[in-house]
Amino acid sequence: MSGRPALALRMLAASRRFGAYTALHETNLSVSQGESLAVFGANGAGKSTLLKVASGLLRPTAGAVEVFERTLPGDPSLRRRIGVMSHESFLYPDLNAVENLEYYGRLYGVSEPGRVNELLAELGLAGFAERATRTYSRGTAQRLSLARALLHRPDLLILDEPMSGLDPAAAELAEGLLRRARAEGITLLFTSHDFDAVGRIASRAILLDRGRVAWDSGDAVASVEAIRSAFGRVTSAS
Amino acid sequence: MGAIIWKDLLIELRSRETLSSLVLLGVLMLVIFQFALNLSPAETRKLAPGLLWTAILFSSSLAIGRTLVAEREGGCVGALMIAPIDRGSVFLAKLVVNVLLLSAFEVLLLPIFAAMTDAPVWAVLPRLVPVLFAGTLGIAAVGTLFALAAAGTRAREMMLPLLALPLEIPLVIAAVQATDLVLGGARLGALGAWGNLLFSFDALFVAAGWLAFEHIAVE
Repeated sequence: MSGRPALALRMLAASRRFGAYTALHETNLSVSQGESLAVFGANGAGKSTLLKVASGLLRPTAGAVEVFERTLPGDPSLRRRIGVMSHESFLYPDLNAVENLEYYGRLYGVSEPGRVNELLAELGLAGFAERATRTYSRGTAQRLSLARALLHRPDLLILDEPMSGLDPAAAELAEGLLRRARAEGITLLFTSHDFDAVGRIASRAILLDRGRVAWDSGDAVASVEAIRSAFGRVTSAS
Repeated sequence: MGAIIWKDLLIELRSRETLSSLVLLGVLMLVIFQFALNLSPAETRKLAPGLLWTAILFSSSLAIGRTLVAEREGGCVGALMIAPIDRGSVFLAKLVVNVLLLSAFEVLLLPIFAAMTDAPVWAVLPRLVPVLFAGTLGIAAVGTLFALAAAGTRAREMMLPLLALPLEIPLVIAAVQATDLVLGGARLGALGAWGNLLFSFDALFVAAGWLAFEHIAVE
């Protein structure tokens, strides 16, 4: 037995091109199980692309991505271990919150009775349960998207700016859920522009700059000051 | 698979947009052909199978395209691709929904078609239904495969008919010929090569869609 922690995610020289534009350059990244990794960087740095490649939403144009030591896209049992919240809501506008979550629950084989109502209550969505999601504000849809990602109790949770568009009360609810997920040993990979939130939720942070990892806090717990300083250094240099 | 079918039917039942648009388009096509070609009753009856399948074929592009609109809103296609389900099941579920939708359209179109063309639809209905089903299944299989494959492309509305229609030509020829034979009083066993072509086309494209979808649907 080696003392190496089991990996939740490993990117092996993963690149992603869109035509002539390379959004992600030969990225090598390992995330241990139970780790909470924040990805931050300026707009267009490649954060969303990195998350999409890590979640299987985009295939790398070069290199490979392994989740729980199996190559993506993998079989259904592997994909069941991943929860994704993207920039897109993944919600059907003509269905209400309960119908959307019940649908995804069936896709992900969630058999736990009351799970849908439990999540709706935890994210303050009980009052919106029967309304078509077409009528939701951005923040409300964002909360339901988070509920959708958490629904099947994934082992790896990938979230693209989970707190954006939320009012302070909703952001607090969402942050509480993420901190609890971290405490339960769920691996988190998320992007954020909120350094304070990153400092409270993440155990490690990386900074992306033009599709490359420009800074990595390493095993040390990322402090808000260290993140701010790295961000200032890298963005001023570029 | 059941979850996708349930969700798609629920969305369609709630909006009824697709079915009402299909019926309107189908009726318009029948009327336009009748007036544009200035057909006598005898000619109308002779061309009836062609009129029927032209209306079904072009309406199918609209129907199949519509079933993916809900998937594109909110990026749900992506969610479907990373869901822990076999991608072949996604194809089969969408195929079932499209066949159900087109069948419902045909149920509504058939009485109008019968009234306009004076074709003996009701007398041969038990033999006509299997032919309609076989043709519809083939059209839906090709359409579903290419609609899902083109879902992530920018010109998807244009791509679907461009990709699907040329492949559907042999199927439509067989469906028209088989319908003509059935309307003329032939038994299903007497459809010969046209019946075989319909059956083979269905088997080929349902199997190809199920097996190839894993590789075609990428992102």
